[in-house]
Amino acid sequence: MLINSLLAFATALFTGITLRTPKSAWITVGITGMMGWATSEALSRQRVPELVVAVAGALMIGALAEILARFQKQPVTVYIVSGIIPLVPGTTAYNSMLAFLERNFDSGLYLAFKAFLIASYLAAGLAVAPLFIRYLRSALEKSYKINRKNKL
Amino acid sequence: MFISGYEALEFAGLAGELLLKNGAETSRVEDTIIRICNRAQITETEVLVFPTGIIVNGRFKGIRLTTAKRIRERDTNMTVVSAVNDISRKFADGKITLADGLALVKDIYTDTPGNFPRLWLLSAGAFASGAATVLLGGSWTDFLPAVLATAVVRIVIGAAAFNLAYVLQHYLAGLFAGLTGILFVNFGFGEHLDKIVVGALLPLVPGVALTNAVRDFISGDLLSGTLRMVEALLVAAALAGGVGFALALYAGYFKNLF
Repeated sequence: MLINSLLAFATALFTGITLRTPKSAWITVGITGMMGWATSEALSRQRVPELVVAVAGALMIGALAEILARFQKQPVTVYIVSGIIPLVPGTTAYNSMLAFLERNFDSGLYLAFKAFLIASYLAAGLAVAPLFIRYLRSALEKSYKINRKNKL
Repeated sequence: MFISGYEALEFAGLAGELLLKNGAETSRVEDTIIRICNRAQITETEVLVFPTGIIVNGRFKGIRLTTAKRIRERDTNMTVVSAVNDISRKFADGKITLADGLALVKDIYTDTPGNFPRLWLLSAGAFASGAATVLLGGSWTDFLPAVLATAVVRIVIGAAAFNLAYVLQHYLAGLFAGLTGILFVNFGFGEHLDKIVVGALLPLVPGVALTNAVRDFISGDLLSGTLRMVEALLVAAALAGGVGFALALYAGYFKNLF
């Protein structure tokens, strides 16, 4: 698990370099990828359905990206684009293609659709995460203001 | 009298073009253009952004000004996205003047930042694939074959980059990843062919296009979302097709292609 987390870190980091991420964000990009992968791996060991796993990993990445973007003053896209790479359903897509070659059209179609669904769920999780973070942030700010008023 | 209006539109157009060319999502491009126009006292701004073009129209001191940009080639360069985002925010906060902003954006346009040395990009991509291969369940003996296969793929793509169609480029990438993977595994250098090939192609999958597509859909840009979705599917199909062709040549599936 630890070694694999480090591998996920390396995958996200080096992919980030090929996508020309700004230097100040290299390490945090790697951490985003690692956390997303660790979340989905921990869930899939509990035999959670694959689509839920995809959404959870993507939510983790989206939330981290939103926080880090505020922190490091970079666009959110920087973290998302590389952080999602370890979660991409590459093996499913490969098996689907192999099934087509072997003329197992029904299992090929099934796997292709599954890969597409997982990819869409990842993207949807990424897109929903900022809404949560913004809601939390505004709620926190509100409570902070109320506390300050009470003190004054 | 209208000079600053024209300059502001040029600034907004260039900033939008740079963002769109380098992998930003549609709503970010529109936000940036509107932010710049608002600061430069252009009112009634209307922005249309597609993956292949930008149209900006706004009212400045009583007359309407328009600028249009055609986007022909797309790449992913997060340093440019970050830098342009920074400039537009500074301009919107009034920290830099219009002339400064325009000069900075033109600088980025002529002298692209974040262009790391080629060899560096190549080795980074290779190590990303090596790590991905082991992560996906390959053994450590698969690490070096994946690294080398990716190096071959990246050299082929780099050599074929002169105006080759986007999809054909990815088809070639898939083909060469498959061929080198088969070659290595055949000579006992590496165990799992599937893990090596998937790892080698993982950094090339259209993740940017697909995530941007869904983000566009959610923010209501149906046209951009559809176009990007189609782009992502085409690229994925091209990669799979390339690998499939390589495997067909090798494993005797060739008759099944017809």
